[in-house]
Amino acid sequence: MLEHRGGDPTIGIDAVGDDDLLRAVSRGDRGAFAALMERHARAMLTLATRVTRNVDEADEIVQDAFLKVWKMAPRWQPDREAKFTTWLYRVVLNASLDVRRRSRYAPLEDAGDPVDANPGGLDLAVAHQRDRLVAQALDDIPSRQRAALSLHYYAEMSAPQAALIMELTVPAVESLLVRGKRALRLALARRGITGIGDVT
Amino acid sequence: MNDHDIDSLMYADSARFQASAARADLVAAAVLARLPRQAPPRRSFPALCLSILAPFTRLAVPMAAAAVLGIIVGHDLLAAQTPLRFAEMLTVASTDMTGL
Repeated sequence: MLEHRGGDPTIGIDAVGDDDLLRAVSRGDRGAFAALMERHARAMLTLATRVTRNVDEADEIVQDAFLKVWKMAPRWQPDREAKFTTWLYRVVLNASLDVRRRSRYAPLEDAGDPVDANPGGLDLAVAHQRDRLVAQALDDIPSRQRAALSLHYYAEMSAPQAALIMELTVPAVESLLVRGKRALRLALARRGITGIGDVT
Repeated sequence: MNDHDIDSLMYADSARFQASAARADLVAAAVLARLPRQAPPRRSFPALCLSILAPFTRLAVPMAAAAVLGIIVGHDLLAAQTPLRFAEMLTVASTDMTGL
């Protein structure tokens, strides 16, 4: 089982680092693995859902990513590898972008997901329309720009954080963000959206 | 549409797709259910090398044959022997024909 730092049982699992959890996972500790998932699954699901727009696909992507974690845990070397969360974000983002590339736009409601518990009818229709147009516009822009925008908006990351995940320099990511926003603006304009009022 | 509008649009769009804690729990439970019964194997270095080299073992015989052929041709063995054999054959044939 996972040993708490300093042997103090009152220290919660939150005080244990990802690398310590991974070490425990490498010994087959399912509790540590569950703690690792509890810590990161929600953020990964949010990113995957935002990129794919498909709940079932997002669930599958995150499940596969964590199964990879279980398999690679014995070989994980914290001193030499990237930070665990960087690796995990990279796996989930790339898989999500691949799925999105293959399937293009599929309405979220088709997957049976309760998107929002309390929207009014008109608000919901507007949100659907906005969702559809943004997804289609994102599909039109180059993949690296789409990846940078996804990390920026969907994972709420700064340029340095996104740079680690995309294995690029910070200026390169900043450039991708600027060009991505410009390309997105043009793609939206082609769909008749020239102002925020068109979709709110 | 300026940068601020793009930001507002994207944040409003992404807000709809926030995963719930309950959904994360379900996914985590599904992952745990898919785990193999035993712990993930801790691989030693030789085992890791073997697993990496395993796909190449089926190519071992053709590669060895190619290597032998390469050595033979590389040393000009065939080229050196073939004229000798012809010379022998011609000598024997000439002897048979002429009776000398």
